[in-house]
Amino acid sequence: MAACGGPGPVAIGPGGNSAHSAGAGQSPAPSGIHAATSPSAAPSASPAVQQSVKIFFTAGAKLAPEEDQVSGANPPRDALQLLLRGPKESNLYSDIPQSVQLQSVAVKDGTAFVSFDSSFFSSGGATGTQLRLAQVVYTLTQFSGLTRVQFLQDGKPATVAGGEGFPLNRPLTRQSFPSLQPRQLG
Amino acid sequence: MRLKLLIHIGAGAILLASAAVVSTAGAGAAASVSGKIIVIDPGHGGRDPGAIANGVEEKTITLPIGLQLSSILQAEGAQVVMTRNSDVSPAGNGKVDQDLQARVNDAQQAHADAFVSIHANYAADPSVSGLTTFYGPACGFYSGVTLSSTDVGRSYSLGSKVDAAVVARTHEHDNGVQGVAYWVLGNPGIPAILVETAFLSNPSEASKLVTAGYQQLIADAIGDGLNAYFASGDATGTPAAPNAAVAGCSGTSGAPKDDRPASQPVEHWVETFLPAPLMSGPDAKATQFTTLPPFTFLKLLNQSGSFLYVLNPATGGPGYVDAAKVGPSGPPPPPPPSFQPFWVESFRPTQLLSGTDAGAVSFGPLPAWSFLQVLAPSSGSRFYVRLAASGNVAYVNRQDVGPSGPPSAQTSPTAAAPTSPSAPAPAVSPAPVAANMAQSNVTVAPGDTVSGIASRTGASIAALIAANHLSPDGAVQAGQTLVIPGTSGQAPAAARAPSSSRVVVAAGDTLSAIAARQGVAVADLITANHLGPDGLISVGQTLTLPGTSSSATTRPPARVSQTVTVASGDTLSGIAARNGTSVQALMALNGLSSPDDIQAGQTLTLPSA
Repeated sequence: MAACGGPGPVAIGPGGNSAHSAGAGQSPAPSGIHAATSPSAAPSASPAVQQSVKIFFTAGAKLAPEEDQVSGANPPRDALQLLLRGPKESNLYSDIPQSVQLQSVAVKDGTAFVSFDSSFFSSGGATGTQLRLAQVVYTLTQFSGLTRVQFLQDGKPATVAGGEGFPLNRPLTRQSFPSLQPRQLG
Repeated sequence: MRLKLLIHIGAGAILLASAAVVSTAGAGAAASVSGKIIVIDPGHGGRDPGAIANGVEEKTITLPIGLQLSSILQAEGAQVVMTRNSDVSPAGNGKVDQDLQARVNDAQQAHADAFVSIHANYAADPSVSGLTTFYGPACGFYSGVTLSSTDVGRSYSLGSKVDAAVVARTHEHDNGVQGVAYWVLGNPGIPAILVETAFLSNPSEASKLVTAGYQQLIADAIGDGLNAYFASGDATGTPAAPNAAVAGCSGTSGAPKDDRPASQPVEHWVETFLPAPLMSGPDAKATQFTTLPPFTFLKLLNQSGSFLYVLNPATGGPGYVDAAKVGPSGPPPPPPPSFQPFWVESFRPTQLLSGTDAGAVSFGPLPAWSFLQVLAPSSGSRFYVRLAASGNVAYVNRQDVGPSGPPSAQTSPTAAAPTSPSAPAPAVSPAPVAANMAQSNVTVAPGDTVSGIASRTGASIAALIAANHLSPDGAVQAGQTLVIPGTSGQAPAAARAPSSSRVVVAAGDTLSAIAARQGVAVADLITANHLGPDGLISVGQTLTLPGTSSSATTRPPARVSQTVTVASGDTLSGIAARNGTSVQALMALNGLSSPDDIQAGQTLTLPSA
C-alpha cells in the first residue's frame, strides 16, 4: 500500500520553503489552515475582538499606512477587504485595481496564501505592480506570526505579476521591496 | 516557431534617413556598439497593453522608442534583433509567461551582447515621475535561471550608464538603478536591463511620451548609454555587482536566502492545502489512486490544463492533482538527521489521537497488540506513529505502547530481531513457541534485549513487557528471568498459529469456534484436515492447524464485519481515519466509485481487521 494513501490525520511538516525542522511536534490534525478557504466563511477559531490595524495604501512611490479597525474573527481577511475598499484619506492612493476580488485567505506556518482573480495580476507598470504587491504584503504581515505572503491566482499558484513578470513563485516578505519602505511607520 | 525575428545588418538608406533626424552621440567616430548584437525588447504588445493612463497604452509608447533605437544602433554598425516590431505578443498567444520567455529566447538565440527592454511606468499617485532602470539579480527569477556575478555586474554597469545617459538628455527625475528579478532580466550570459522611461500616470510625462520627438530623445539617450557601456571595458571585464543582488538575492524577489549552486536545476514544489485526489490522468474521469492529505509535498513535473503532474516524494509515485487544491511550496523539510523510525506495539487498548496537546481529537480506539511505527522523535507524552495495519498516521500515548519489531517478524520468528541485530542467541531455545504452549522461562544473557528474546521465542515484545511487568522501554538485565507468555490469546498475528500445531476437539466445540480461537479460517481447517464441506467434527478428534500463510483467504469468522453510518458532513477520508482504515479499502469494500460517492445516512462496511 502506498504510504501516501493514508487519508487520516495528516502529515507533519511545515510548508513553504523555510526549513523549520521543529515540525515533528506539530499536530497532524488538519488545523494548520486556520482561515477558511472561502472568504465568506468565518473561521471558528479566534473570538471577535475589535482590533486596530494599519491598511497600507500609497503616497508617491511609497507605502503609506492608514489606521482602521477590524472586528471580525479573521483579522487578516478583514484587513485585506479594507485594503481592497481603498483609502479613506483623499491624499492616499491604492495601486490595487478596483475590480480585484479577494477569493481566499489561508494562513499556515507564518505564510498567508492569498488568492485573487486575474485582474490583480494585470499590468500596472513596474512601480505600480511592486506597490500593489507590497500593499498586500505589508497589510498582512502586521499580524503577529505572519511574515510571508504567497499569491494565488484563482486558487492556483500565481506565476508572475504584471507584464514585466515580477516573480511570484515564492512567498514575498517586507524585505522583498527594498525601494518601497513606508513613509511613516507609527 | 516564430518567423518574425528581424536581423538588420549594416545601415540601410531608409534607416539612415530616420537616424539623421537627430544626430547621435557616436556620429563622427567609430561607435562602440559597432559590430555588437543588440536585442531591443519593446515591452508588452498584442493582448497585453501594459499600463494604461491618461488615455495612453504603454505598448504604443514602447514600440516606437524601440524602433527608433534600432535605427540609431544600426546606423552605428550594430546588429539589431527586435523581439517584436509590431503590436503583437512575441509568443503569439497572449500568455504572459510564454510571451516573456520568448523575448529571453530571442536574446539567447542571437548570442546578444546586450538586451534592452523598453517600458513606460505607472503608479496610482499621478505625482510620481521619473526614470527607473532595472537589472537582474543573481536569482529569484520565475523561469528558474540563475545569473553569475559577472552577468549581474555587467547588467548593473549597463543599467547605470543608460540611466545616467537618459537623465542627461531628458533631465527627468532619477529613481535610480534597481535590482528586480523581472522575467526578461533572467538572461544568462547577456547584460540585460529594463528601462522604465517615464510615468504614463503622470500627466506631464504622459504628454511628452506620446510625442515622436521625446521618443527619439529617449532612444538617443539609450544609444548613448550602450555606447558608453561598450566603451568602458565592462562588457569584457568583471565589473562589481551590488552585494544585495548577488548575496542570496535577498530583497530582490522576495525569495528567502537561496544558496543553491548556480548549476543546480530549479525544482518547483507544491503542497496540498485541501485533501486532494491523486489521479491517473489530467481529467476528472481518470482513476483515483488515493487521496493526498493536506500539506503533502509534491514535486511539480508538468501541467496539463487545470491539472498538475506531480511526483509524491513520500512514495516516489507520480500522478495528477487538481491545481486548485495545491499551493506553491518548497521542498519538504529534511527529516531530523539522527532519527530512525522504530516499531512499538500497543500492550493495552488505547486511542488514536490527532495531536500532542490536551485538545487533540480522538480518531477512534486502537486495540491492544497493534503494531505501530514511530515516525518522529517523541514530543512530550505521545508518539507520532504509522499504523502497520492501515498505513494511517496518528499520535498515541507513550505509556500505552512498548518496544516491538516490525510485524513482518511473523514469517520468520527465528530471524534476528531487526532492532537488535547483534543480540546473541545462545541463552534460550531458538525453537518457536507453539500457539498453545504453556508458559516457560528464559534467563537474560549479557547483551540480550527484549526484542531479541521476543524474536527468538515468538512472543511479542509487548506481551513480554506485560507478563514481566517491565518498564515501557523494555529494559532488562543479564541474569533476569523472564516469563515467556503463551501466545494463543491476545498475541498479535505475528506469533499466532504457527504451522502444523494440533488441537483436540472438546465437547461442544464447533469448527468455527476453533477457527476463531486459533485465528485461522474455517475453510483452511477443512482443507488441512480433509473434512467434508459441512465441516463436521467429533469430540476427541485431533485437528491440524494450518499455517496462516494462506492469509488471503483467512478471515476469522468470529469477527463480524462492522458498519458505520455516514453522518452529515462526513468525508470518506474522515471515516477512514476514525476507523483506522484507508479510503481505498472503504471504496473497495463498499463498491464506491469515488471518495465523494457517499451520502449522509448511508451505511458503510468497515474492514474487519
